[in-house]
Amino acid sequence: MDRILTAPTVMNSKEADPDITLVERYTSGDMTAFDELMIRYERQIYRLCYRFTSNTDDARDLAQEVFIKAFEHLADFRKESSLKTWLYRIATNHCINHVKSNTQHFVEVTETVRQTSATAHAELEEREQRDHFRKMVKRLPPKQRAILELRIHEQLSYEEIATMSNRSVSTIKASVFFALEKLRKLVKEPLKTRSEMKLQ
Amino acid sequence: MFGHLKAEDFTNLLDGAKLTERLHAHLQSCPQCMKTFESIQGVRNQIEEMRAESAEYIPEPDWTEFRSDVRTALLSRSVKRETANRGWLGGMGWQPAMAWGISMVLVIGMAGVLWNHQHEHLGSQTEAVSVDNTAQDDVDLNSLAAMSQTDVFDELIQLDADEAQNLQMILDDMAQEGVSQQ
Repeated sequence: MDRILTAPTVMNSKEADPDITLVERYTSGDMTAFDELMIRYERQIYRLCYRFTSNTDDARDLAQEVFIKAFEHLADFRKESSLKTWLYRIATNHCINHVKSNTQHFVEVTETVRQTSATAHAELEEREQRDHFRKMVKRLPPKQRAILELRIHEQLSYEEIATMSNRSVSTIKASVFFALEKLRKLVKEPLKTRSEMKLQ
Repeated sequence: MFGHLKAEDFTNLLDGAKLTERLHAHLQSCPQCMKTFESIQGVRNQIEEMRAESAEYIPEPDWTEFRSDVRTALLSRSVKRETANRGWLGGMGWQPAMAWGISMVLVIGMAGVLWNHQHEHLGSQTEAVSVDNTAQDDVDLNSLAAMSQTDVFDELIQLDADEAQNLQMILDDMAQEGVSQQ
């Protein structure tokens, strides 16, 4: 926990930031900086996308779109925040849009799990609960889910998330609480049948 | 009960931050806040467990291919943008096209001014010529009208003897023809 609280925030000295140097090299035409920038962030961005999609192909496509968009607009990067924060903002927006346009897909996955869990062995109950929890995380409103992903999975500091989303640290902290509270209520809810889902 | 913990306070508490004495005392004495905290903490712990599990088995793509795809897509989009720009500018960029357009406007403008100037000059010349001709005609007419009978006879007077004889013969013949007709 302490590690999270003391996570590095936006760098004070932008001159010393190797990301800024790489960005400047890339925008001035040095294509070797492209690979270096990719290597630094490709895994992190891909994993974030995977958590939203739970699918390797979708996660790869989404992550590639994030980098394409980032490199196309790298000249517009104002260096007011760190490159990491900037990339995460693009990635989070992409993921939120992806979730919004694929909501029905997640509902159907939930139904499949329900059918499977109905025939599951008692020893697998614990596993089933974890699966259920995962599915409930996916049912969170996209923005609340994004905040939890960024904070808990990516371990970004509150300051970084606040910079990304143009919100105050207090707002982000409160949002984390409300996301957890929402998740708690969702987990308590019994799984709904397909017909109930359609009625919603 | 007043002074319940706020959302931000709960998050701080989950992160292990120490509460102020007042909030800590409240939490100890408020079953509602304690219940909220415990339930939220349970959810948070489950997410942490999920994170630890998922970190192990997220399948990763071939990173070289991944980078190559991004590079290719960037080049492809860049070429498409360039082609789209060329499409409606006829292969020129904005600045050359604009310079070309301005030049054309200037040339057409200059040509128009010259043509207009020339047209006006020719018009004035034609008018001048016609005015001159009219003046000449007027002079001729005036000179004939002004020519008196005396001047004709003066010319006749200037005839030499043979010419005067011939003229006299013509006049006589004409006189005789007139008599015979009568």
